[in-house]
Amino acid sequence: MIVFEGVVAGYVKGRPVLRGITASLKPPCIILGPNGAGKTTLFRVILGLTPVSSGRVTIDGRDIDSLVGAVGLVSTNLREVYTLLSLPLRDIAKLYTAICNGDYEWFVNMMDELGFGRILAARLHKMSAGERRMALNLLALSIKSKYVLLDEPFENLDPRSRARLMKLLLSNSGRLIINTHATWLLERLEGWKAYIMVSGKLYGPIEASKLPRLGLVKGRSSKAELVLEVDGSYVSLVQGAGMPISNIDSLDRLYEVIAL
Amino acid sequence: MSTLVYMKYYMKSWMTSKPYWFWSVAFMTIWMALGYVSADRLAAAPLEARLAYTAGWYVVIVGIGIAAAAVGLSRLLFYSSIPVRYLSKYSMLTSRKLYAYMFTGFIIVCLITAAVLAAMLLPLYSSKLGAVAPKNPLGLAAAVAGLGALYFSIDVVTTCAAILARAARSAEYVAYLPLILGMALTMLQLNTSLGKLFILASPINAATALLFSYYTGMPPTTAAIVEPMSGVKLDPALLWASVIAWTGLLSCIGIVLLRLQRGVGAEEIRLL
Repeated sequence: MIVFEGVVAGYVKGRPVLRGITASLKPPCIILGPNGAGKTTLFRVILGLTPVSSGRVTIDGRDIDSLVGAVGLVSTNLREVYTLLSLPLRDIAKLYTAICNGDYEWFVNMMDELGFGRILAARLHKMSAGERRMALNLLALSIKSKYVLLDEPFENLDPRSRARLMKLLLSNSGRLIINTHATWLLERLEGWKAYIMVSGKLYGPIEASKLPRLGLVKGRSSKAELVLEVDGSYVSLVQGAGMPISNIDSLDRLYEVIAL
Repeated sequence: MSTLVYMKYYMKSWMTSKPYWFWSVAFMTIWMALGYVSADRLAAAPLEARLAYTAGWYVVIVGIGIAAAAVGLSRLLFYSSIPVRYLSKYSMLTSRKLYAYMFTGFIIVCLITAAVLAAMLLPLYSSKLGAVAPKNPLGLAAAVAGLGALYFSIDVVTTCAAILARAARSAEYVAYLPLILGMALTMLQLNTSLGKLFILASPINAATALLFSYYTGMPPTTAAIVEPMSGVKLDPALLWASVIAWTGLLSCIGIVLLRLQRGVGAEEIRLL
């Protein structure tokens, strides 16, 4: 379990991106939020890449600041983690699967199976955004880690690849923590926990499959399953009222509820 | 054993790096050609003078070639700072192992640079000056390794310090520091007789003095490289002690800084 205790973190002193996160993340779980909510920063904190200015993060009881050589604990699809050397994807995969206890054969087979085998000889910066996204998703999954952090795994993927990836993720759900602003996948996530992240704060958990049936209502409602604070206003998630989450593509539309 | 695979890809990335081959090898051939053109006046000079002339050019070319490679190393360190942070936590490649592999790999790169430059320089200069091969190739290789180790440790300290200071926008300036330092000190030694203490305190000059000495077979001195017959004799053991002590000290600092750094990403570079 990944535990956040009052975590404040950011890139510039005095301007925190995460504003007091307290939560326990256990796979399978999904973190939903509009762009700019701090979802990627949350992952970067787990990976030890963004300094925590106050609070504490532990993974299975171990403080992330003291973690060294914890092979097989956490993998991710964040591109910045795979830029150690400027090499073709094939070599990057061989290197990372070797030093992080991954399965290179599985990676190559899945790349072929999902129709991306042709890009193995390409470098990350030469790939299209969708190709790169799929390659990094599969690389993260090929590493035999307990927690796989997937940042916007469906972004820039074509519909066919999206469906194939969804199937693959559901078969690996026991170790996944996904963050996304997309809502179309919620109905498929039976048994997953969902958190909603807005303006650097994390709300939840709530059953992911329950979310599509909830609607976004401006203000604080007594019937709310969750109440979110968005830019000084409140948005309630209420069953059978407001703008249904199942009708919106992305949680970016959260701001429409406040503005309109 | 699994982490050794890093060495393989680290070397592959160096050997397929176009900037490395251009700046450390191809660009150095221009300097080499300058020395070749002005070698005519020495064609009838004694062997000692011809050897010293060739050694002078070789030492300068190798010194600057290695310093140019250090620019690439600094860039590599800067842009791989985030993966290094991640891998030290969640892979078998701890920062200490990574340092050891990068250190060894860079010394190999330096030896390859020196060998390639020698393979180009020797036939060229020999065609005008006769037999001007180095007198002590093994000693020369050891001095090249020493100089490479020194540049590596300087590079890691300056780059990691910049990353820790979140001086992301100064990445380019920091990358050129070893080259600027190396060129300034090597050119100074080329034309000026430096003091004994200065050479012992300045490990780049100490390594350069060793390089020249192993090439020519003459004892190291404080003399300017262009006037090698003058100057005060230096003890090679003391010169080595200076190179090793500085490398050791900077390496200790470098390992600590590498472990402490949290990486600088594009996102942060924009914000700073």
